[in-house]
Amino acid sequence: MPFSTRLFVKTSLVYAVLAAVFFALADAASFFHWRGFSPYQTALHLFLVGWVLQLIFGIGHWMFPKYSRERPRGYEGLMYFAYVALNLGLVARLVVEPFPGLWLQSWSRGLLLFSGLAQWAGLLAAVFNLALRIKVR
Amino acid sequence: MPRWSAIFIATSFVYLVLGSAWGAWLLATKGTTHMAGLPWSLRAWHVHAMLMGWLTQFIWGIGFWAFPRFRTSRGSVYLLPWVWGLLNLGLLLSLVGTAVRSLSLRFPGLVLVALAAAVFAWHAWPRIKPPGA
Repeated sequence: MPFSTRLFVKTSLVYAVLAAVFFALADAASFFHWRGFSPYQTALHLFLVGWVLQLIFGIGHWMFPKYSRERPRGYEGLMYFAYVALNLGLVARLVVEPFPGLWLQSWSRGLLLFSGLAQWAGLLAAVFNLALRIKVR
Repeated sequence: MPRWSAIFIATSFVYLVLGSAWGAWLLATKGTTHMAGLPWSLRAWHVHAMLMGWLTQFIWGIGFWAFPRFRTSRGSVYLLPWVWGLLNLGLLLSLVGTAVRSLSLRFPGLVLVALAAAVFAWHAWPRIKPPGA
């Protein structure tokens, strides 16, 4: 298993735990009517992006058909970029999104925009590298 | 990988890129006062694109490739164009229906997506079997 795959898969396991914690917090926030704390959307994205998507990227990078003899896993640098961008984006989201009261402050507006762009850029890099390796045999 | 896996996986990547661009836009607009604008009126489609267009379509592509075979064949392969067509036509109808707020487009679209899931299950069911069966 290549190093980048191990990074993706181990990080995805951490997000699976975090997502479960956030789902529990979302339930508690709803039950106890905690004002100003709304973690459900964040929990969903920790689950779907942090856990499921990163697991798929990691395993896909390991198992997809080889790109070429010289570059069997395509452009490895793109996967590292994807890893860093996706996780910076997710952490930025984690800091701001559960607190709607903060959304309109200028620093958090910037952080939300950064989070969206970073996650999308990371995903684009990984998709590009994996799409190169879709081969019919 | 087999041709239909490549088609499903490549199409799922298209939904992943488009659906997540939509999601990034939604997230960015949380920091503005425009949360009622276009991206939010199509939020349901972001969910459909990501869960059915990307995740489910990708899993079906991998499933068709990796599930156990019958000696040399992957079973009822003729069903795969139907699955792909129903799913993607359904998602397209649901996008247009959501955009123009037409239940008469959106609902049939979602029914087609459900039919695609049923047809894939019909294909995959006999391939989920013990070794040698």
